[in-house]
Amino acid sequence: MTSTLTRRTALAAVFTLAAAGVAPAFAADKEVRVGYQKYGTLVLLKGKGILEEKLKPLGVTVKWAEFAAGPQMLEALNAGAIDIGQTGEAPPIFAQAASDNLLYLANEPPAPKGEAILVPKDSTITSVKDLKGKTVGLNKGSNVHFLLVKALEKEGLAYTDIKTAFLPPADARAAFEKGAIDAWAIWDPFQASAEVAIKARTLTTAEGVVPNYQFYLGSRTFSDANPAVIDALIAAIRETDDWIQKDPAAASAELAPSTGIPRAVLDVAISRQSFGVAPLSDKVIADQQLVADTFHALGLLPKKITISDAVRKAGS
Amino acid sequence: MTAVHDLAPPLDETIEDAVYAPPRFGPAVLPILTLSVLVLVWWAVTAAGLIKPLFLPSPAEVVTQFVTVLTDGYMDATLSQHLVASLIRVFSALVASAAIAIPVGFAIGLSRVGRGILDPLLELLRPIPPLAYLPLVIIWFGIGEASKVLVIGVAMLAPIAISTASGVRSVAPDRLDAARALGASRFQLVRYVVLPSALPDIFTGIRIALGAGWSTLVAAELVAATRGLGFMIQSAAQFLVTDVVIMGILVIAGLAFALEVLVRLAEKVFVPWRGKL
Repeated sequence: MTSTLTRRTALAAVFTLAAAGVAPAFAADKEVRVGYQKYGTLVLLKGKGILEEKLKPLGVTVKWAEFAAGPQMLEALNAGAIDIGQTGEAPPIFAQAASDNLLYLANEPPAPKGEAILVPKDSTITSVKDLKGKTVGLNKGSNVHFLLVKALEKEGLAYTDIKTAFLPPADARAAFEKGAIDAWAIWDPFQASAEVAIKARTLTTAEGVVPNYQFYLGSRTFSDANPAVIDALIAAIRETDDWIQKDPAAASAELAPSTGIPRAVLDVAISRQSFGVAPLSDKVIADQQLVADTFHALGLLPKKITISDAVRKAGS
Repeated sequence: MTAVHDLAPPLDETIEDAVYAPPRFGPAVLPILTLSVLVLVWWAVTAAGLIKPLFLPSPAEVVTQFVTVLTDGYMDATLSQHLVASLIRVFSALVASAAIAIPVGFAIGLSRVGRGILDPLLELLRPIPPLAYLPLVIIWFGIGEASKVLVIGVAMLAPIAISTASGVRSVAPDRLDAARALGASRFQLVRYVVLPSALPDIFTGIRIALGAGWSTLVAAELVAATRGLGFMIQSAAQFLVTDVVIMGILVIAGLAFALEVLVRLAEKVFVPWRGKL
């Protein structure tokens, strides 16, 4: 009997530990955990220390966590491992379908030149129309997937008129240089890198096709519990935006060592970024809804989602 | 005198009970029990709401997803299409890999020159993670089927070659001497003495290689795949569809297990002398 009891207790303890390990850590009032990528506004904000300054009066400290890409960052946000993050258009769509804890906090203005469809410099393809029957490399379910669909649509081509090859950026660059793909839909700074290093030619940017936003996202539980922290974050981002705009050379100098991207490439990429953080307008929400509906129609998104359900209400 | 005899139980019984402790149930009972307990625990923690579905979906959800993907498909292909695509890749890789690795293993095992040349190459190749050389594979071989098979095949080379070499080297010298005394040629020695002795080890190598092949499947199917279990899992992971990820992992595990059983059966048919030499 004793041995049964001990075993049962041990088993219960194991379960409790396991549950504690994976249960979402609820918003700690004294700390905000911010996810960032090697390239973007948040990593520059981290370097400047503005957020720490602004949060000091509130008694809140900042913990930074680096992520390789947007999807992993939002996975962590859904899992309660971080409170704030920044990504492009696509990752939050899938994150919202997976969990209702995701909240859009704010966005940067459209940066349509920061994504494009490229062809090798000596390619015979001169327009999007010429892509018919050709192979286009792209990262599946990313912002350029949306760009490609809409760019083809604009020229009267169907998505099925081209062949797609799904490749992550580094592998796509290899396939592009080898000529295994005829065109490559890609975003900055990879886009700028291909232009500078191998003189890739731009078939079309997103200009006049799709907006290309950057979003700041947060966990709903954290955001609801700490509105003052979110406001301070947006103010800090605004200051960082102003600084980058005033001194883009300094920004690229700071990003060059951490990203391993040459300054010449970063200069191009930053010049195509846009600055002016703001809460999501109805237009932005409608634009983002179109991205979600397009992904749903492509069969990438398992269910329909409503973007406005996941947008932080101003002043809340 | 008789009392002492009574104290000591019959010898054979003692050994049976104390040393071998024969189980009172068939060989399949324990594995089935282990798996059932695992599923039961999985069901219990999800049903009790201890873990959110995002972290660990319930067995019922995974089964539902299994049925959905089986009938409606995921990412433009049904589960069986994903499965066949991956199976073809793994088998092509196994055939190509065995065709290279078994002769390499013989060369390493039979000749000092062969070992000197091939062993370091094998040891250099072995620890490189497939994701690291993926861009190289694409630059050299493009984004077609060949690249995917190559990534899987490279992972299979070392286990087969190393097992073959160790099998070749473990041939009993007296058996070689006996064959040589009976006038066997070099070729006959290899064909009729070394090969049969090494076969059990070659099979072991193939079993290990299959495992290694399955574990590189996701990396291989990062290369412009539109079908395959690795592609399916990777897509589902990117889009945070956890139940498809778990379902895919279970399918690979089940498939790998079935193949393992098949290879063991083949081993029994082709190498009936295993463990009896």
